[in-house]
Amino acid sequence: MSLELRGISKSYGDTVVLRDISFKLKPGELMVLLGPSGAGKSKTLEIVAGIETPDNGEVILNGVDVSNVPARKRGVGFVFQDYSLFPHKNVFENIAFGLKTRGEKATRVRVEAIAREMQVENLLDRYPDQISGGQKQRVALARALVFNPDLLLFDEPLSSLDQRVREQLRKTLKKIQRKHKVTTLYVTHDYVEAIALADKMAILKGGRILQSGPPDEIFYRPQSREVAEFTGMTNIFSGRVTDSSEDSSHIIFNNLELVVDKKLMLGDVSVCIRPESIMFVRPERPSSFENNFDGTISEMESFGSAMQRIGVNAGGTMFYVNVPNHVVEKMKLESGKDVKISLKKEKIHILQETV
Amino acid sequence: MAMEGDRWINTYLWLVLLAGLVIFAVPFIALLNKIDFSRMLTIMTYPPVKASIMLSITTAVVATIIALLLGLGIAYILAFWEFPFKGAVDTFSTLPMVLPPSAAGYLLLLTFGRFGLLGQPILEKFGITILFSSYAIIIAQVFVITPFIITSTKSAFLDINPNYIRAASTLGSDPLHILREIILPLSSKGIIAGTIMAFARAIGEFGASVMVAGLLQTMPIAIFNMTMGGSRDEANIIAFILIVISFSILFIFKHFIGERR
Repeated sequence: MSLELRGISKSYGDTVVLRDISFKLKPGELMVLLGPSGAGKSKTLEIVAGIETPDNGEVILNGVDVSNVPARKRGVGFVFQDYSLFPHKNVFENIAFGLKTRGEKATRVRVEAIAREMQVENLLDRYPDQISGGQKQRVALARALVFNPDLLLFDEPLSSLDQRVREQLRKTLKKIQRKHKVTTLYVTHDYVEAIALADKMAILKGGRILQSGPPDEIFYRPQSREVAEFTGMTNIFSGRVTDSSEDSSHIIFNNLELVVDKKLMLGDVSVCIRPESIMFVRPERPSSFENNFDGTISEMESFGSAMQRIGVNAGGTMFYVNVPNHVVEKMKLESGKDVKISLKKEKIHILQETV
Repeated sequence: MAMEGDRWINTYLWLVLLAGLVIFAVPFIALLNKIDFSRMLTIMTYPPVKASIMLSITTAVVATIIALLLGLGIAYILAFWEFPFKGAVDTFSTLPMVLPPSAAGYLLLLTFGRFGLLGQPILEKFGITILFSSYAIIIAQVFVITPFIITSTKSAFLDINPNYIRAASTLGSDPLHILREIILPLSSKGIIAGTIMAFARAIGEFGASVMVAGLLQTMPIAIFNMTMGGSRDEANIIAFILIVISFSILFIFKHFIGERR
């Protein structure tokens, strides 16, 4: 089932919540709406689900304008951040709810099948207050999936869960989505989650889409400093292009010099480098990359379960680098150590704007 | 210092206890002192007393049912609809709670009297006189008790996580199904509590009903009339029955709330 939003806008009094939101999803695609809180992500989901009405614009499901179709007739599964399981119904009754309202047959068989798939088959007699957060979200997912929805909507479904459960459930979720080939719209403020799940992404801020496209494009080639900052681009510097030829340019920033692989206009730019694009190289060995800086490790911090984020001070400029734990051990990286960092010219993204 | 403070508090609390006893318990003792239990059955079957008991119970039951139907609907609108001047409507719907009952009765008198705004057309069209009938008593009770049901039901409705309702609608529920499957089960405690309190209030209603009851007497009206007429034995028994009813209702109410919470 394909989904298209055309020029959706919504205001409450003078407060504009959404302005001119448009995007398309192909059948089976998973799109992540990424943005800070208050960006209008949830409101977008609610409008797609039909529990909110837009002031302008259309929601098109499989080529049909459903803007005036009530939520109950849209056939859309919605998973809420707070799970929203009905507290007076047990797990079985919760999952069966969407089948009962549709008067469908074989309720028990279908509920049991989806419960097995979501690994909650032993909890069917329990009430929501008797199961854990992770289990609740599995039940909520089962409840949204059991009636074979044409479209699945997730509103920050993992953000109330702890790290371990979150990673586990994220994998399950992706697997299930692929298996059922349900077109999915997923809202989060966590870019790590976004990159793990998305086929396609849109960055939302202040009720507007700042950029949309494949995750790689958004993460490595953001069109604005705002997008870069929000997607975890930890190294953003203001610099100046001093000379440029057909296939390379030189940029000066903070007394450092960089080479990049494209033609640029002379003048002020922002230099964007992702923390995972920078490598540590052994000082004694020659680097195979174009840009090399000497520096000292001044900060180290765990980042996720298997990574460290290391701050390297290179002549007054801080570079933040994400390194897997095994590399940290192998290279004996520690605070105060002098190091050499290196980056490929292809990995540097230049924004021809300054802020 | 600590001991001093404790002493003060203790003295104060003992005084309160004593005053409470005088104000709340002694009146009951006074009644029990006067009441002639040996004549209780005789007096209860005495026609005016029996009539007042029957009238009170029937009007209170009917009024509570009507108030429940009205109150549920109004509470639903106030909790789930958005419309201009909602705040004003909300305040107005609970106004009878603070309105002096005699003033409420007077308003009903103006409305349902022979020449009243509604009384006259109803008399002309249907030949029914509302005023000074049991209809008038029921209307007076409904007027006074509906706000109790509105208030407790509305807050029970508002306590429901709105996402339950949204989840249900994405799962295919229409508004009636949501009301039956989600809203009513999750707010039943508040609705029942409000209904019990409303019934208690209806049984005890005096000020508004006395203005529109005419010659009819509910139990509270009968106590007043009999006291004024010197029939103290009858008044004693009716007062006693009312107290027993009120106490039982309160007991059920507390028990119910305690159980579920």
